[in-house]
Amino acid sequence: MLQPIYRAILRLLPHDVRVEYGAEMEALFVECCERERHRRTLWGGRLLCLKGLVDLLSFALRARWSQLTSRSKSDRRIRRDAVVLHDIRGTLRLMRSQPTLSTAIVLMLALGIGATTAIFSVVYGVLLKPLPFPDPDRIVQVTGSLPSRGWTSISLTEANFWDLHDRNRTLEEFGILSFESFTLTGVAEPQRVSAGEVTTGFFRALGVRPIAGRLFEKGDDLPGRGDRLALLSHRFWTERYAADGSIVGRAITLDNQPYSVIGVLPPGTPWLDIAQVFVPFERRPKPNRGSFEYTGIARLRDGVTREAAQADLAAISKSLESEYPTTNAGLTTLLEPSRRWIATDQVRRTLWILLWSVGLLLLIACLNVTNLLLVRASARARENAVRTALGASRMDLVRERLTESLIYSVSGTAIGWLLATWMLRGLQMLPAGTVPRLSEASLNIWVLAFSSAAALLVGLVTGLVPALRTPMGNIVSALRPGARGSAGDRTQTRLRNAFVTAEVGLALLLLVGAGLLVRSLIGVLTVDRGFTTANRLMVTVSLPSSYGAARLTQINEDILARLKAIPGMAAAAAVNVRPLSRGSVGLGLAAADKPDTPGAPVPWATWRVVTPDYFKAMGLRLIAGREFTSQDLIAKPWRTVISKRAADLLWPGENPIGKTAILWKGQGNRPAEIIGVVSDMRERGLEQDPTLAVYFPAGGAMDATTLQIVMHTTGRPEDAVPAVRTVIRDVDPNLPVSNVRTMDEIVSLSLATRRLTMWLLAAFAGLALVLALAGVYGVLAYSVSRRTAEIGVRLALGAEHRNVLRSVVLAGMRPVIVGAVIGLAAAIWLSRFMANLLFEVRPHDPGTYVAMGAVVTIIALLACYIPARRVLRIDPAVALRVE
Amino acid sequence: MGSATLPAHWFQILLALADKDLHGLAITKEVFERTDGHMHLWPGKLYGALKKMLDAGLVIETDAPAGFESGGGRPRFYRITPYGRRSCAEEAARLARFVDAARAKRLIKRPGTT
Repeated sequence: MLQPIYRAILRLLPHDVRVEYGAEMEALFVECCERERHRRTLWGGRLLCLKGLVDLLSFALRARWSQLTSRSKSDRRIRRDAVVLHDIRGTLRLMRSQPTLSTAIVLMLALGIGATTAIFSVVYGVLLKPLPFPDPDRIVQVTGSLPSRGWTSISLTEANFWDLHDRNRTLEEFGILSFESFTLTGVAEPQRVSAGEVTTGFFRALGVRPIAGRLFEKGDDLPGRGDRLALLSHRFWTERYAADGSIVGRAITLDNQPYSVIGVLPPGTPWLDIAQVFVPFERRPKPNRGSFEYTGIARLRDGVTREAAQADLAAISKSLESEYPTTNAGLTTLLEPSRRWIATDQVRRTLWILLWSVGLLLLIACLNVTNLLLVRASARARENAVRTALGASRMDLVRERLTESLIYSVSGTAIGWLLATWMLRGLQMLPAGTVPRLSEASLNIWVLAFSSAAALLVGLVTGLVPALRTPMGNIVSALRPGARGSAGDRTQTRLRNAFVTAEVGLALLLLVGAGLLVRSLIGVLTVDRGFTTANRLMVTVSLPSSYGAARLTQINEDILARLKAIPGMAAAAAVNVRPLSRGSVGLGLAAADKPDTPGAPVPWATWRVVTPDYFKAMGLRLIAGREFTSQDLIAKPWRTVISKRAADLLWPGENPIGKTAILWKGQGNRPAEIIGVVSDMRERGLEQDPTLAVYFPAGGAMDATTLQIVMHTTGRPEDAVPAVRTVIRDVDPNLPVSNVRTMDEIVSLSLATRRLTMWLLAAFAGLALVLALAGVYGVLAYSVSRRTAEIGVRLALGAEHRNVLRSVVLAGMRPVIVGAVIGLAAAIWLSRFMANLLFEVRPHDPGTYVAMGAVVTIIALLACYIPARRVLRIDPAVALRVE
Repeated sequence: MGSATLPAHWFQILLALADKDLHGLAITKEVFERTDGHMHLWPGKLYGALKKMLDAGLVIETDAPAGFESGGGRPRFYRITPYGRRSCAEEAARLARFVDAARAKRLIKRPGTT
C-alpha cells in the first residue's frame, strides 16, 4: 500500500536527483519496510514505514534547498520559492521546538480530517457514486400504486406488466424480475441458490453487457423451448466456479433439471447481485392478474422525459381499469428514478446526518487549533514587533502564519488519511448489508479531492485568524517590557472565549443527537416484541418440488416430529414466512357482523400458515380461545387465530372468539371463524408497529418446498445446531439447510444499521466533548498564567484565595454556559431533521437535553477548576516579582 | 572536512565500506546490524549522505561486480577513497580516545581482562 505513495512523493525530489537515485531508493524502501514488518508488530512496522516517508520528505526538502542556494539569486521565481522554503524551515524549526503543542495540533486535525474522510468515502459510495449502468438517468423502476389502500409502491402483476410492455410508446426496454430459488446438485455438496426470473427486457433496460457469453435474447422467454438457459451472477461465478470462463456453454443442475449456462453478468449493485443465477421468465398465454410480485425496470426512449413516460403508463393503467374492473380498480402505475435504488430515504438521511456531525467535529478541532495558534502568535508578539521595526512587512508576517497553519493541516491530512483507511477497514468488517455498497467504498480520487479541499480550507481558516490578529499597530507598546492587559490582549481574550462558546455549543449539539439515538436504541431493544428471542433457533430447509405433494408432506412432518424428539428441544414449529424477513403476504380483513363503511380503507393483515406449536416456539402468548391442534386443517372449514390488535380493531371491547371475520375482503371474501387470539408480534422488524396478523393451521398444507423452522431450546440454541443438521440429513441427505441463525442474531442483525449510526455519532460526540473541554481548559490555563501578576496584587491587597478562585472559575464558565444555551437551542431547532431516525423518543425529549446539558456543565466545571486551582498556589511576593 | 568530526551516520557508512565495495541496501544492512538496529538508514538519509560524501570526496561510485543483479537492476556500488579512509580512521581514533578515558575511569573493563 505504501509503495505507490512513496513513488508519488519521490516526485518531490529535484529531477536530476530523482533520475539518479529514485529507483534505488524505492527498492531500498521496500526492503526496509519488509524488514521492519518482520521485526515488529504490525503497528510498529507501519509507524516505522511512516518514518520512511518522513525521511524522504526531509531529503527532498534538503535537496531542493541546496539546489536553490546554488543557483543565481537574480531569478525572481526562485527567490520567491526560497522565501517560501524559508518559511517552511521556520515552521519546521518551530514544530521541533514545541513538540507537544505541534503533536496536539497535528493529531487534532488528523482526527477531524480522518473521520471526515472516512465518512465521506461512505457517503460517496452510497449516495454520490454513479450506478454501474450506462445513462442511469434514463432507467426507472416501474411500480404499481393503489392509493385506496394507501400503497404507494407495490410490485407489478404479471398481466399488467405484459399489457404495459405491449402498449407503451415511451419505453425503449422494459422487463420484470421475480424471485425463485433452486437446489443446485451435481456438485459435491447440494446448495440452495437464489435465482431471479427475468424477462429479456430486464438486463437490456439496465444496459449491462455480459463479461462472458451472452444475455437473454428475444425468444429465450417463449414457452415450449426445449432447453433451459441460465445466467450466472459475477459473485456466484467467482465463488462457486472460480471465475472459470469455460462454464459458459456447460450445463448445471437446478432442481434436478439441466440448465445450460449462456453467460456471466458483470459485478455491481443493485440488481446484478440480487440473485446467484438468473433464468428466463416465460411468457405464459394466460398471465396472472391478481398477484403483485414482479419488480419492473425500464429504460426510457432517448429524449423522453420521466413525466412523459409516467403520463403514457398512467393512461394505459386507466384503460386497464375499465377493461378489468375486478382486479385493476384504482390501480395505477408509477415511475421511480434509479437514483433511489442504493439508499432508502432513511439511509440517505442517516448518512447526511453523520457527515454533518463529523464536519462539526472537524470544525471544533479547527477552532481548537486556531486557539492554540493564537496563543502562540501572541506569545511571539514581541518578536514580531522587533521584526517589524527591522523592516518586515505585514505581508511577510501573514504569509508566515499561513505557511505555518498549512503545514499543520497538510501533516494532519497525511496522518488523517492513514486513520481514514483504518476506520474504513473497520467499518467494512461489519455484517454485509449494514450500509449499502459499503464494500465498494474506498479512498478514491473524489474522496481524496474532497478531503484535500477540506484540508486547504482548514489551513487557511486556522491560519488567517492568527495572521490577521498579528499585532502591527503599536510597535512601541508591544516592545515595552511587561506590556500586558493592552486593548489588543482584551479583544483577543474575547475572541478566544467566543471560540470556546462555539466549541461547547457544537459539542452539545452532537451530544444531544447521540443521546437521542442512544435512547432510541434502548427503546428498540426494550420494546415489547411480542415474541421471545432467547433460546430460539431458526433454520430454512429447502425441498425439491419434483418430490410431489405426498412425499413433501411426509418429509416435512417427519422432520418436525424428529426435531421435537431431540433432547432439550422445548418446541419446534414451521411457518411459511420467516419472521423479521420483510417479505410479507397480506389480505384484507373485516368483521362479518359489522356494516361496511363505504370509502374507508380495508384493514390489511399479514397471514401466516403455522404448525400447532408455532405460538409456543415463538413465545407468543395465547390471550383468548385456543391454539391450533393437529386436527385443525386449513380451509376445512376456514378457522383462524388472529393477533390482539386485529381483534381490538374488528371487535373493540367484545369477545372475538366464535365470531366470523371476512378474509380477503374485496377479493375472495371468505368467512372464517375466530378460534383464538394471540399477542401482537413485531413481524416486520422491531421498529415497525406490530402488524395485524391472521394465522392458519398448516394441517393439509404441509407440502411446502421451503420449510422455515422455529425452535425453542432449553439450552443454548447454538448447541442444538449439530443435532438439527443430523436429523434433517437422516430424513433426506439431499436437503440443503440454510439461514441457520439464533433469533438473537436475527434481531441483532436487523438493528445493525441503527447500532452503527448510534456508535458513530456517540464517538463523534465524545471526541467533540473532549476537544471542547480541552479548549475550555486551555483558554483558562492561559488566562490564569497571564493574570498571575494581577492576582498576586489582589492577594497582596487582602483578597481571599477562595474568592479569587471562584471568580476565576466563573470567568472560565461564562463562555461554557453561553455555549451550552446556544447549543441546546440549536439542538432543539436541528433535531427535527433526526425525527425519522428516532424510536419512541421525541426530538425534543427534555430528559436528553437536560442530561447532556448537565454532563457538559459538570465536566466543564472540572476543566475550569484544574487550571484555576493554580491560583491557590500563587505567592503574592513571587507573583509581583514577575513584573 | 579535515579534522572536523564526521556525522555519526557518515562514519558508519565509511566503516561499512572500509573493507569492501557495497551498494545502498548492503550498506543499510551492515550499519543496521552493527548498531544492533539503533541506526536505521532510510533511503533519503542514506542517499542524501552518499551524495554529499561524493561531493566531499570521501567515496566514489564504482560499477557493480560483473553478474551482480538485484531487484532494481544493477545498483550503484560505492568505494571508499584514501581520503575517506583517513577521515574514518581519524574519527575512529577520536572515539577510541573517549573509550580510553572511560577505561581510565574504570567505567568499562579492558579487553582481555574479565
